[in-house]
Amino acid sequence: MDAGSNCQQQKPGPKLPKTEECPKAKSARRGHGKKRPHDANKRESLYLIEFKSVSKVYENGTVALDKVNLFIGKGEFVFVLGHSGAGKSTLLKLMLREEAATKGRIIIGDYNLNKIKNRDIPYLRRNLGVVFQDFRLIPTMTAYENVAFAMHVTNIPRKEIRRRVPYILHLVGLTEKARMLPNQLSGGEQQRVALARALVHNPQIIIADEPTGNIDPELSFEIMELLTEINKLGTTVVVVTHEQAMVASFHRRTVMLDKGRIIADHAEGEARL
Amino acid sequence: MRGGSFSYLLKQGIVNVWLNRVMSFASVAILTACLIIIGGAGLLSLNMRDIFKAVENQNEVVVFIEEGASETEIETLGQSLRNMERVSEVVYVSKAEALEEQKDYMGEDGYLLDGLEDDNPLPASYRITLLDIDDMESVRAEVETLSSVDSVSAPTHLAETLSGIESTMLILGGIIIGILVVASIVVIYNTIKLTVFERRREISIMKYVGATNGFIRFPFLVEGLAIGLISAIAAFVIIILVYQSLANMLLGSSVAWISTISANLVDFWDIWYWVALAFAGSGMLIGAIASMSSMKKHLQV
Repeated sequence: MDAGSNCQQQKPGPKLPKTEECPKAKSARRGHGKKRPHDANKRESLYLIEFKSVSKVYENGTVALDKVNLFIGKGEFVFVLGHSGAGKSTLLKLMLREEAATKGRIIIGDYNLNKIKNRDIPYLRRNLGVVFQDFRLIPTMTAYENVAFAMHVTNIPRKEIRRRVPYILHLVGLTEKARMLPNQLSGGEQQRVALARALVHNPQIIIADEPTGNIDPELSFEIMELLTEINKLGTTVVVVTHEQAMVASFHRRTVMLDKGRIIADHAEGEARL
Repeated sequence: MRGGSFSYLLKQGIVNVWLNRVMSFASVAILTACLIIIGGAGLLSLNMRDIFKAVENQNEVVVFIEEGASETEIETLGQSLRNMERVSEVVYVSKAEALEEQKDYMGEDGYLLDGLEDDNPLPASYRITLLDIDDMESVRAEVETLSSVDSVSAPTHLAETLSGIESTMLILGGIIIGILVVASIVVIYNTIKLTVFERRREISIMKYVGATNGFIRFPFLVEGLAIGLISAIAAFVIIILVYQSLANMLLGSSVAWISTISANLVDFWDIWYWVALAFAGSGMLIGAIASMSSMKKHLQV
């Protein structure tokens, strides 16, 4: 825990030391396809994720988010807690630029999502590793292939893939099960494959949407531990969930959403609930 | 794009064709039918053109000169024929030449005409070629009013029939081809739509891990192109077989007018690369149009 503690302040100061990164991961980041030039959007910010008075109104008039302000710094670990319909999925969709905000400003890393060009969206998404409740693995591919697939389709050389995938699988503790198909793995293991896949591009941010929703409670804890480990390596982690009990047991920063508004934002370690 | 990815994407496209083989087969079948009709119409009109030319050449307007017309009268007639705007060529055939020609035409039996030189029954004539075969009737009417003209022989009926057949076929062929092109596009469009549906999980994963739109779309374009290419090959093979067997049938016939046609048939092996190119080009174009419009509607990336 201590290793990552200085990364988890709510508003890291400018003198915040550079987030730690595993040396191997660092070397693997080199050569991950060409990076799009996006100097126009380039900016120095304390925050990796900025939502400034963001509203999202769907065409049918549903107000999914209402003037949301959310700032998440580099290296933070944040829970977004809310019932279904509170606006959690919309928040995710906006981050991934599956939807555009109706109002307000969203900045993710180097990208201003209000101005981002369509052809830059894939490069934004390489900065965001996503894990879903239903894992979304390809059933005909082994654990190894599922992870390699994410690199294949982003134009990464085979040599690089052969080096990187075993490392990532080792990181999530699945070296032994690399040759197994998803249906031969437990829910927890499948989620670890999904997590490995989310990590291949060495993203700045991991977004986990109900990551433990389909997993037995005792295995849920393992997944959360794994996310904590990843966070310690310097990656910002955002976990979206409705499970209050889980949130309560981890004492991390918690943003509570209800009816499209942020009703509470507890800092790490703060008394709550 | 790196070479490795390119071959990967190419392979994915071919896998798509196989993944959806029933629909792919339907697409190939209809596109093949479409291409065969396009190719058939093209070959037919090519052959018609050659046959037309042969018919036109053999059947110039022949202006027979009155028996007993003086040389000056003949010369005057020739001049007025040459002055006509719609006439491209005027050739004088004297009585002696006409007889000689007739002998040649009769070949081995030509000796039957021997001895007719002094009492030649064949009239002298002007043979005129027209710029446009459609003018035949009006030119004939005009020539008949000139002096020293005995009669005018013009194959107006044949000319009219042939150009009538050609334009009818052009219109009919155009309509059929149009319908088949649209049908092919619709079927391929739906095939691609199904493949997109079949692969929706992979597509969504590709989106989330940051694959570019081009990367996600390319295999579906390849799928459309592959359907086009397979259809082109099938259509090419079928058209060779049909054309050759038709040509053989015509060549074997002893009916006079059919042998005129078969003598003027275009040899397929003189033009096979044009046919192949046209098939591959139009097949792949139709495939590409269909898959791109399908992606536009069903593959939001």
